[in-house]
Amino acid sequence: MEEKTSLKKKLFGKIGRKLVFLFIVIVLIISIGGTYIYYVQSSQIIKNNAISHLESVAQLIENYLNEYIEEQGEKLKIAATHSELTIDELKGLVELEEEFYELFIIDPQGKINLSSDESQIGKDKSNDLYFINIVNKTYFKPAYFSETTQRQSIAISTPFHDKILVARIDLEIFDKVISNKTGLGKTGESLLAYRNKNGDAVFFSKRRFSDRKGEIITKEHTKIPITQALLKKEEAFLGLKDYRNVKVIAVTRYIKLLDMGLVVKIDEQEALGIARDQLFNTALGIIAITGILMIILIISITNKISKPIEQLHSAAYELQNKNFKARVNIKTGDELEELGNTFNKTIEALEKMDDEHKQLEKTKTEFLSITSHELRSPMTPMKAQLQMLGEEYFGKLNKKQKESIEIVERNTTRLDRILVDFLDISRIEAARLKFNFIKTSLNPYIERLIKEMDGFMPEKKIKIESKIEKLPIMEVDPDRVMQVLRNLLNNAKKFSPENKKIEVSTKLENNMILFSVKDQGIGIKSKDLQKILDPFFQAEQTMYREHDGTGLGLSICRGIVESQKGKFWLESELGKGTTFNFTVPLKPVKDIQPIKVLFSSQEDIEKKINNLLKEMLGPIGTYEFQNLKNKNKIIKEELIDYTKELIEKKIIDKEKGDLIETNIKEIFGEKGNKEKISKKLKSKKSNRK
Amino acid sequence: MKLKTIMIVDDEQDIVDTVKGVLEPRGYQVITAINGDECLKMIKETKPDLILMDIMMPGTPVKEIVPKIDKDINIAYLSVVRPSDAEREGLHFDNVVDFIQKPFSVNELLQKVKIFCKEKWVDL
Repeated sequence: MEEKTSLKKKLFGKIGRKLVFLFIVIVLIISIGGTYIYYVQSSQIIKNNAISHLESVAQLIENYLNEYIEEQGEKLKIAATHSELTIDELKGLVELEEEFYELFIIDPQGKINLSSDESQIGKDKSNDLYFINIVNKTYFKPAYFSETTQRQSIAISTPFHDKILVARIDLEIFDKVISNKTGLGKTGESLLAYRNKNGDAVFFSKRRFSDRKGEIITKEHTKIPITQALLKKEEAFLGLKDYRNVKVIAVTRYIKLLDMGLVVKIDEQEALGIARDQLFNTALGIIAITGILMIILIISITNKISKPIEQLHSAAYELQNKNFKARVNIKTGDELEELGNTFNKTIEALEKMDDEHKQLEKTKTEFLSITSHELRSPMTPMKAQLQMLGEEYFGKLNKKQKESIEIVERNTTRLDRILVDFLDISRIEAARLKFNFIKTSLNPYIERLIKEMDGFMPEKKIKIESKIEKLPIMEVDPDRVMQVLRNLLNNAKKFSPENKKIEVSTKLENNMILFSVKDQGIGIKSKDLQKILDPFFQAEQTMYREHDGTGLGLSICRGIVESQKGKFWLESELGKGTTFNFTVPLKPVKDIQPIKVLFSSQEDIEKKINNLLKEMLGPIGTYEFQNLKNKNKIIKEELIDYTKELIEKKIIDKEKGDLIETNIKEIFGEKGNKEKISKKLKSKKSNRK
Repeated sequence: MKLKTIMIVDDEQDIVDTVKGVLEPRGYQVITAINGDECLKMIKETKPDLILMDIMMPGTPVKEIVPKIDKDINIAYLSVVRPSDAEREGLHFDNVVDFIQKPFSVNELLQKVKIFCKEKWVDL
């Protein structure tokens, strides 16, 4: 599922791509739709054109047939103008006029009187159509199969004095008419058929039908064009399959004079093919042109919309990194430009706020520094006068007076210590904390300090056990390191019950010197573990307040350690004791950065956890964070349990879970290889991109 | 034996009075000035054995006052804040013998004054 979403992000993770995709879809729909409509309409026109072309060919053939047959009639009429015709003359005429294969004369009784074919003489034709239908004008007998001559024929009769002159014409003569393929291309052909006695259609073309009797299509085959033609229907057929099972276009004509049907047909492939190819090319052209237009469109879209958005994004990114100098320059003349201008104004406002914030910070630190100084000045005469009083410079004191002065003096000292702490904090925050680096090994300093601390609060009988490695010679400010260590030892002694021991250890680890101070005190509750580094916080108030700390000692220690890019953290088990740890890098940091000692580290941690969850779980991370916070679970152990739960429920995989866990430990100050983790995170990020 | 003369230069009258109150009963002659300029004027009349001088005072900066003081007069600074290294550079002169942190302990002050009146304290 993750792969799917990442693919989706890959494809559509940019607004430009989304727009491009949208436009491609729109353009495709429009161009395909348009092309389809164009294609359908054009196909219809092409078909209509093909049909009207065929119709004109059919018309031509029909006209020609009519003219041709009428011409034969004229020829017969001319022959009938003779006063007398002998057999020889009839034979001569048959030879002369190639269309006539037989000429004969029927007497008024219906008997063949004379014929160019002598075998026909004497035959009775009184029932024949040309005898019955003749009324002083030329009669055309529709096509038929002549039993007598065994030929497919038509006959023309015309009055000849009191007799009738009849010419028999073989249908063969039409072959040359219908074999004329003018305007019919390669596959086009025309077919003629007549009706036999049963009313069935008979094709007689020699080319296609070698049988003299021709091919018969029974009248039941009403779907065949010729049947329709003989039913006197003049129609056009589309998408019809002929005897070869090939799609053809056909038109039908009825030739009234001969009672014949004419079919002119051509393969659809040929009739429409070329036009269709042209149409296809046109459609391709349309798509190609729209494609080019689309590319232009995409480029302009990326420029008009995507680029300004990218600009806004990078400026916002700069802003996120607290670069308040970032500006956008969008000149699109539309809402985006307005957005850009508003964005610039917002950054300006933020810049102003940031400046004010920095000024405020500075003022706060200065205020702290100045007030501490000012408060310390009166301490000098006060303390000196008290001492003089107490030491009876000005006369003997009674017991009560002495006690009173002691109390005042003790509290003056305490007040002064608070002021010193304040001064230290103001220095840490203003990055004015001074480090006097010298090249030395820390070993003698540590030994001296432990000896010194051994004598502190002797009534508690606390033993300090030390495991001190031989430390290298390094550039370091031993006084500052000892300030931290002294503070921790002091702390440990104060909070240890009587007769317990304190373990101090130092060792070299990863270019850092790791100091640990472990006590056997009451320990600190998990939820207080982080807060203990906050200024003025004292866990289980009573226990800690008892001891005259200012509540700033640990904050100052943290500040000193972090000023040198070291780490400061603690581990504790309720009832078993607490271990404070800090590291000092082998290489000193000379360019001291300000550290916010007065900021609650808990808030800082909550911010970091929130960011971590957001990064790892997406938007739901914020929700989860709020949920955990409400349940008071922004505690290392709780968060690690929560991560394990996520892995168990298969919401995240093991690898991610481990990464979260390492990060949580890191946030809570547990030393870890920070670089490695952030690299891992970065590589994950880049993968997602 | 001639009494040792100690000059206190501080703009805060309470401090001047306090130091005076510590030193005078112990057999020192104490003269006081409220700033550097007054100190220079007074030196012309009475040459002290030791000057206890505040660092931050109104008037001419201490940095400019100290060089004008005779080289054979010991000076000890009295200040609330340990001056930073940079400040220390500008304040370091051969006749400056010590730095006494305010608020000071009466006994410590007495001890130091006793020593500095006898000889120069070179190790700063």
